Formats: sequence, C-alpha cells, structure tokens
Amino acid sequence: MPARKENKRAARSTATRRKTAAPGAAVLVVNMIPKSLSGEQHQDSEPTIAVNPANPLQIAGTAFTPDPAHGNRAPIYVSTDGGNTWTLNSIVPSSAADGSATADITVAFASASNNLYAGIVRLPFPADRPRLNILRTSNFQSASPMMVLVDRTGRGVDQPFVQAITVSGGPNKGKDRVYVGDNDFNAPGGRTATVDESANAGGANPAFHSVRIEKRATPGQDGPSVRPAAHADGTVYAAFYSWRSFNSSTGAGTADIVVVRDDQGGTGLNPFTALIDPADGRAGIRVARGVRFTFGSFLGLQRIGGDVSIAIDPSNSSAVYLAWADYQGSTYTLHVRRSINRGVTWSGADLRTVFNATNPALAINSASKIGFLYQQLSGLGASQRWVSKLELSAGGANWTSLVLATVAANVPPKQFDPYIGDYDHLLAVGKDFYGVFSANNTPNNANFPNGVVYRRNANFATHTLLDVDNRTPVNVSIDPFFFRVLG
Amino acid sequence: MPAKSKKEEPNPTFIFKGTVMKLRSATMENVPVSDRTIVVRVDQIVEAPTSLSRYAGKEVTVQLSGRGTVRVGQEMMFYTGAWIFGDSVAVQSVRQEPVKASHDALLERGGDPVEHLRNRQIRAHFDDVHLVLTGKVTAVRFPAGSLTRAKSRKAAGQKTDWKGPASEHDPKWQEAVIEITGVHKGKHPRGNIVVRFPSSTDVRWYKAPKFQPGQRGYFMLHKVKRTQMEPAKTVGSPTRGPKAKGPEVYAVLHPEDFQPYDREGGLKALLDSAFLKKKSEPRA
Repeated sequence: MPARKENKRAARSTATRRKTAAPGAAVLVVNMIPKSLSGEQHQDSEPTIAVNPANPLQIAGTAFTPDPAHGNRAPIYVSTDGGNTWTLNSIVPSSAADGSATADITVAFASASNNLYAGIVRLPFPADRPRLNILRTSNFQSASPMMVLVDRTGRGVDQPFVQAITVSGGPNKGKDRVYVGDNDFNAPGGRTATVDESANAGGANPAFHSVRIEKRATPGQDGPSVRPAAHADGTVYAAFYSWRSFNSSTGAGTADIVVVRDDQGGTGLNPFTALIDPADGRAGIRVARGVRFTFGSFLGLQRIGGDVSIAIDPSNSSAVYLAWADYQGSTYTLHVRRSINRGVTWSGADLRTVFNATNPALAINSASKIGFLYQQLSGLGASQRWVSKLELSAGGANWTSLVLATVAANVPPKQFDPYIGDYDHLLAVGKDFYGVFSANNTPNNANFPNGVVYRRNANFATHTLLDVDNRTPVNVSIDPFFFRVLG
Repeated sequence: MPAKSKKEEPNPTFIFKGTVMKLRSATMENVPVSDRTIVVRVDQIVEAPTSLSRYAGKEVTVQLSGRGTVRVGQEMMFYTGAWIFGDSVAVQSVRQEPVKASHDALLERGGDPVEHLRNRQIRAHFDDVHLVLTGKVTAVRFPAGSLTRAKSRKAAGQKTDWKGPASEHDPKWQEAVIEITGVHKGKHPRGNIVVRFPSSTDVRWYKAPKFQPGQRGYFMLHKVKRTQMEPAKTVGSPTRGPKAKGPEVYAVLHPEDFQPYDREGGLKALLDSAFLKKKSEPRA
C-alpha cells in the first residue's frame, strides 16, 4: 500500500477514535484491548472489574483473556487513569500447557488498603474437580505474581466471586475482610452454596474458612451463582439459587432465590444466619420460591446456568436490591426487587422485569441511585443483537436507560462457552458507576450510541479492525468493554 | 489453611537478539521504571508467540534479570516472558547474555519464530506425556460407568437423578477407541486402546481435541486415575473422594495431544528430527 494512502487511513482511524473520546464525558465506553495486541482475536468473555476506592484511577479488570505470550501466568487488565487506557499484566497463576488463562476469575479491591483480591478457578485442575485459588497483591502493576492465599481442589468448586472491604473503625480497623461466594462441591449433604471468608485477608498469613450458607435440603447441590455484598458497617448479604429439584438429563429444575445476612462481618459463631424465613424457620429468606431454570440452556449463543446479583445502599445497609433470572414460560426473564428492612421483607412485585436478557449486575451509588446492567437479546434470527444496557433509577420506580452497545449477536462464531460470559459486572464508587461487559468488537460507531474509545487499531469508516502494523485486517472477536457513568 | 506462595519463574517464550537503546527507561508510561528496566530494539526474533512475532525492528521494554549490568549499544540475547502489554510491550528477562559465537547456530537457523516456539513446546509436552502413538479412531462412545452409576442410584431409590455436580466446567467425558498403528513413546501392545477426552465446549476444555470415527494421526496420551474422572459426590464417599485410588486410564487433554497426519510441522516433523528419534523407537 502506498505510504500516503496508509498514512491517510491511519489518520482517519485515529480521528474516528478520538471523535468519541470526549474527556470528562458523562458516559465513557472503552474497548479494553491495548494497542500492542491489535491482532488478537480471542473470545475475551465473562469480564469483571475492580475500582480502588482509595484511588479510583486504579482499576483492575478480568476476562477469559489468555497471556498473549503463552506463559505460565494469566493476565489481568490494568488501568491507572480511571479506565481511559488499559494494559495487560500477567500476574495470575496459570499454566502455559493449559492455555495461560483461568477457568473463572473475579477481582475486588478492599476499600482502603490498596490490596487487590482475586477468586479464580485455576488451571490446570485434575479432571473434573475445579481448583479454587484466592489471591492477593498490594501492587497490581508489579511483575510479581499474585500471592496465593487459598489453594483448594477437593471435589471442586465453581464461580468464585470475590468482594472485599477494609474495616474502617474499632479494634479491627484497617483489616481487610474478604468474601468469596462459590458453589463448593466439598460441602456436606449437597448444601453447596458457600462463602469462603477471611476476617484479616491482608495479614501475613490469612486464614480463610468456608461458611455453608445453604440451610435446606437440595437435590445434590445449589446453583453456581453465589454472590456476596459487604457494607462498611459490617453488614454482609449473600444471594444464591437454592436448588429444590433438578433433572440432570434435561437440566430443568426449580430453585428458591435465597438471601442470607450477617451483621458482624461474618465473624460471629453462626455467620450468615441473621435472616430467618418465617415460613420454615431456617436461615435465609426465600425472596422467590420455586423459580424455574434450565441448566445448560441457551439464550442466543450464550449458555444459561442462573443469574443473581445483590447490592447494598452504601448510605443505608438496610436497603438492599436483588436481581435474578428464571424462565417465565419459555422466556428467560430478569427480575429486580428491593428490601428496605435488611432483607426481612421484599417488594411483592418486580421493580423491573426484563425479558430475553442475562447477566444482571446491580450497584448503588453514594446518592442511593441504583444501577442495573444487563445484556438483552433482541430481534430474530440473523438480525439478532446483543444490547448491553445500563438502567438508572433514583428509587426503583422510574428508570432511565443507556444503551452502551448494540452488536450483532451471531458474529463472531463462538469459540467456547460462555460466549459473552456467565456474568458481567457493575459497581459504584462515590457517585460514579463503573462496569464492564463483553461484546462483538466491530468498530462501528452505530454500535455504541454513547460513544466508544478503541486503543487497538481500528478503522471506523470501513468497520475494520487492524493489526499492529495498522494495515492488516483482523477478524471481529469478543472484547471486554469498560464503561464509566458519572453520577 | 493459607497456601504458601510459590515463586515461579516466567517461562521464556520471547527469545530475541536486541540492542540496548536506553538505560533506566521504558517504552510506555504504564511501566514502573527502575534500574532494571531498559529499552531494547528487537533486532532478530528467535522464538515468539504470535502476539510478538511482528516486533522485529521495534523497541520494547525489558526488565533485566539478575544483577548484571548492560550498556547502551550492547548487543545481547534476551530470553524473556511477558509482563505488560499496552501501547507498547514490556517483557521480563529470565536471562540475558552478550551475543557470542555460541549463539551463531541459533541466529542462523532461519525459519518461523512462532513455529520454533511451538516446536519447543511440543518437545516439552512430548516429554510430559506417558504414551505417544499413531492410529485411527474407530469408535466414539460414552464411558460405560457413567450409565451404570445413574442406574444404581435410581435403583437405590434416590429422589432425583442427580449424577454429580452440574458444573459449567463439567468435562463431559467421552471415550475414543483407537486402532494403534505405531507406538513412539511408552509401551503398549498393538491392537486397540481406549482414551477419554472432554467433549465439553466450556472455556476449560474447548481446546482439547474432540474425536470422530475415522480420524487418523498422532496421539499424545496422559495417564489419569479413573476415580479422578468420575463426578465428585458432594454427600461424601471415601471411595469417590479426591484421594481415592483406582485404575488408570489414558486421556487426551491438551490441544497438541492429537495431530492429524496431514498437519504440517508439529509432532510429525519432530518425530523425524534427531531430537526425538532416540525416544521414538517403536516398542510395540
């Protein structure tokens, strides 16, 4: 290609990227793949992020992204400028022979210690017994691998979901409390919903113990999604699918959506038993009973195994919001409800009901505004699209909607399950919402109604991704997209 | 019980000859600069993953290993692993050494650096596996035991047909019957061998080979305890727990564990090389 033409194309590509990169904009959407990986075509699905409350310019991200250099560590995404630019830093234990990645990963910063924690399913693991690791680093930019705090295989574990908070007062001031919700097949009696917790995870040699939060009989296990949420005053909630029946041939089953609570940061003798369901006298309020799920069903190319999210109002730990999914007839449906009395009773009807959607993620900001992120499959057949939306509401009655991305749902072809991820992520720091979702990365401004910034090479005029030479076309793939919405 | 942190050296996957351009510097803002970070121009790539295969002529950041000093203008061999990918690239040196005559063979061998890295990894993988053979897949089936277990639970009056953890990471084992035509590592009589493979498309397993009858090629097989391949029982059974003993079975787990005859390079090429010839004398 003649040099002048190439330069013109590069200039146009850059100009298009900058056109939408409005500094300080109310909505910022950023493709997280760095420029030096412009040639990558991996399915970077199932993202999470962590924002350091002590320094919101520091943000960590994760996805099913392998180490680009095929080493023995998996990468995390790192931003030190509030999410405007991203790098990959390979500091998560993994194995080159097994793909230099993880089989599950979530991250969370503690609120004041600058410590970043991760819950991962580590590779390799023996046959069908997924291996839990809980990790920590005090410097996510360091070249040193994250420290392994917990390394457990046993009978296996699924979807470790980490939350962390630094105690702000009293005799335990400064200690990091870490909660990892997971589906732990080591649990006796098939009561697998578990929170692995530590009251001082930032210490030199932290102890973790497994709290079995399922108090009812199950058909052999609970659902994979176990989500904790911690408040600065010591209140901790967790929500999960408490399975009631399950047909392993069809994947069909029923579940109760259960919320448990602890008022002492999980440090008491009987943690997570503060909420008693009046109907059966057992710990854990059944917010919804007998909801229907089909484990291993699909919404578009995305597998479905259950979705649950819970968020606490940072200014009032009595106010808590819950989202979950079930099948209404044959339609996969999201529900949002609220409790204003510490989970004892819940709104009788949905505050929001969304059809044909998955990956609900809730967060509440310091002004008590609720954020609700989800990914909805719209349209039919070849014209189907994944629409990633953030809805905001001041009190749960009226919601405004932001379309962050609307992309072709059947392109690119699926490389593996999950296609876009079994979860995405939303959180709030101060008044601002921060989130991440994975989607088709076609560089087309029409796909991003609120704008987008790409650091990887792309020509928005021709809707073409370009390799590191800024010339060779690159196939469309699934990328993680960070977003920030000013509160 | 907290696990002790185990220090792991990064695996050198990006090996190149480079010229030191700047000391105590970096090619991008995000790299924490120290006495050990330098800017190096990549002069010649010896081995590289695809993501770094186009960096000849470009400058990268190198975090030096050890305590040795380098000087601007010095030509060196760098054996590195990934560190940071951003607007530029930073790598961690596992070791670095001045270019000398002993590197001539490495620098003059030519070929594709990506293929060189892949071949080295295949060699390492060859050393790790228990059995390497050539053959043909004649049948694919479900492991017989999985059906028997489901029936026995039903007969025992269990309320549900729960077969073990319903996990997104379930490998969904299947068995392939392979008709052996040659054994290149390990010992196994001619005839048939049954191997297990994960049919799951989950992120954990999607790269593992999926078999269909009629496939022919090279197979690299791992020995796995049969008990470790059965569903873990959450209600607890000492014979099914993680420490249970049991007979071993062969499994195919990694992307390179099956390579069709018509694939260029790979194990086929290595079996013809001097490196593997000593190890691959047929023993059947």
